[in-house]
Amino acid sequence: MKTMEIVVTGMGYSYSDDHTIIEETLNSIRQRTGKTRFIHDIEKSAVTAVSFALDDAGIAFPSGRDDIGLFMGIDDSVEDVKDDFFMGVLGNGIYGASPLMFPFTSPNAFSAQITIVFDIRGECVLTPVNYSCEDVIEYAAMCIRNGYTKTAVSGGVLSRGTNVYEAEFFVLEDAQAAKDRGAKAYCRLTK
Amino acid sequence: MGIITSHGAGVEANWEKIKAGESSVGEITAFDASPFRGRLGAEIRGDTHAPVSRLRAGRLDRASHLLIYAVREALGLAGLIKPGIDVFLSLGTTLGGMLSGAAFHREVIEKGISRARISKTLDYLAHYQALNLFREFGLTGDYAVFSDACASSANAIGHAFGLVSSGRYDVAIAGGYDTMSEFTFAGFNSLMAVTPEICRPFDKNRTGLILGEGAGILAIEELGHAIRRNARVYCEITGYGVASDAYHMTSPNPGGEGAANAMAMALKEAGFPDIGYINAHGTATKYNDLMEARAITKVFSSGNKGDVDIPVSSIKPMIGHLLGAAGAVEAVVSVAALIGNYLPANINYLTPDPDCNLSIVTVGRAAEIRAVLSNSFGFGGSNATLIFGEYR
Repeated sequence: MKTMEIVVTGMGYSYSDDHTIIEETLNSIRQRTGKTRFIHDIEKSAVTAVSFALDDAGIAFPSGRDDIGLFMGIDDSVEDVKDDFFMGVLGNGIYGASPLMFPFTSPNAFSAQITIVFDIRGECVLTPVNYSCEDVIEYAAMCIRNGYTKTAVSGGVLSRGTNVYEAEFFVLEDAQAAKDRGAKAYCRLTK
Repeated sequence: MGIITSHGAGVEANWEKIKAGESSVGEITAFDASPFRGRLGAEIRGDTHAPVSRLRAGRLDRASHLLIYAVREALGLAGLIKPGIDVFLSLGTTLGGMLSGAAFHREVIEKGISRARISKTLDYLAHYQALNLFREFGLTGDYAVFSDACASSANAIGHAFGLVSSGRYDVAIAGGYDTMSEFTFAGFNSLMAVTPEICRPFDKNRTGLILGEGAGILAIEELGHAIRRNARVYCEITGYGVASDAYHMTSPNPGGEGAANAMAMALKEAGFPDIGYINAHGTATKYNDLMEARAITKVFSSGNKGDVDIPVSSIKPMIGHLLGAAGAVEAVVSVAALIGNYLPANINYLTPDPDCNLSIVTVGRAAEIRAVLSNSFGFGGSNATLIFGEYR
């Protein structure tokens, strides 16, 4: 593995109960990207946090870049969506299977939506396990070191109660690349 | 390698049926499929309870049983069944223990939340099946679970490949699994993606996919480590590519840019080998096959129409679309094709689609193959490509 120093150049956080902040941010994103429809609170929180992280890192979006990857973890939050879909099918049979809701029963719907909103065209992976937010940051760093991606947006969504979520994302990149583009570095990844 | 599909348990059993061009698609028996547009599926028939020694079989989801089957075969063939072995376990799934979750929800509706058995959820979440493997096989090490729709297990293998090739682990167990679930079946039907007839990828008259179930596992090992312990080496993993469409939640980018980027990235890492067979994602939906054909053409064509002569086939008409397990099961079949020098057929293909101008393998045949490229694409625009090269 190449010895490369990875630094954090952007951070974003959102809490799903902060409705005003989220709606204002989503409106701003709609104006910048043209993407208008956000269905679930997980999605809204995650998109908001990623926009904060990208803005903080000074990365313009929609990016259209295939050298930016998204590495996302999600905990049991996604079970809230599955619950709704399950209950729909169990309660109403075939007519309860919402084609709008179904894609969101696969956790990667949220990471996919982020790539669509911000036009991130590099690697996109999602790990659906408790504490996976930390794991994907490690994986993102490995992908930067191995040359699979230049910049990584990494983090995830955590459940803080039924239908209440926290989203946290970081922008990671090679220290030299960050320096070259004049980005500030908050800290370096040591593990 | 280890595999279990509707064709049966074991690499040999599966490969013989795939070589013969057999289909194990039939009427769904796991649930009442009569209300749905499509009623066919590729189910694993008979007893699917894997023998377990350290786990309570009755508490395991069907997904765990399938996974244990495939892992036991892979570890056995690799000579790696020994407690305490340090591995990285990298798995892909879209459903995890979905059947257990569904059973729990049914009880909630029928009996109320206070009387629904919480034990039904013991093997529900997507990482429980990984943890079960550590217990059953006495493994040590770390794990990751990927849920990138139908590219999940290709990504899991790609991640494991990265960890082993970068020296972090000597051995990784990588693959994926998924089961036939009424909820997923209902979901794909609601999207009108399931065919009411046979599955015919790349055919002009294709009408959609058939769902299947199963598990596929590869034991991935650093070459020197494998040689030192005198293990049989089937092939080399030489390339992995991954890219996003950033286009739509369920539709692929019609131009195939993301898929083409994944293939190009894998080919570059592999050193642009002479690809002798492309194991296509080939779901038989209108949009996927058209996109994949365009992506393959974009990557391999020199600019003249119809000049891509690399044999292409999808095995999904035989064993169905295994969702999160598809990439892993198709990786096993790709390796079998490579070492067996045999091109599996794209069965049910009758009418060429001029918009999918590829060299479709209509009848299985022997061929000299030095490298195989396997594609996996998923909802949300997840694209992953693996390349396997012969080991000399």
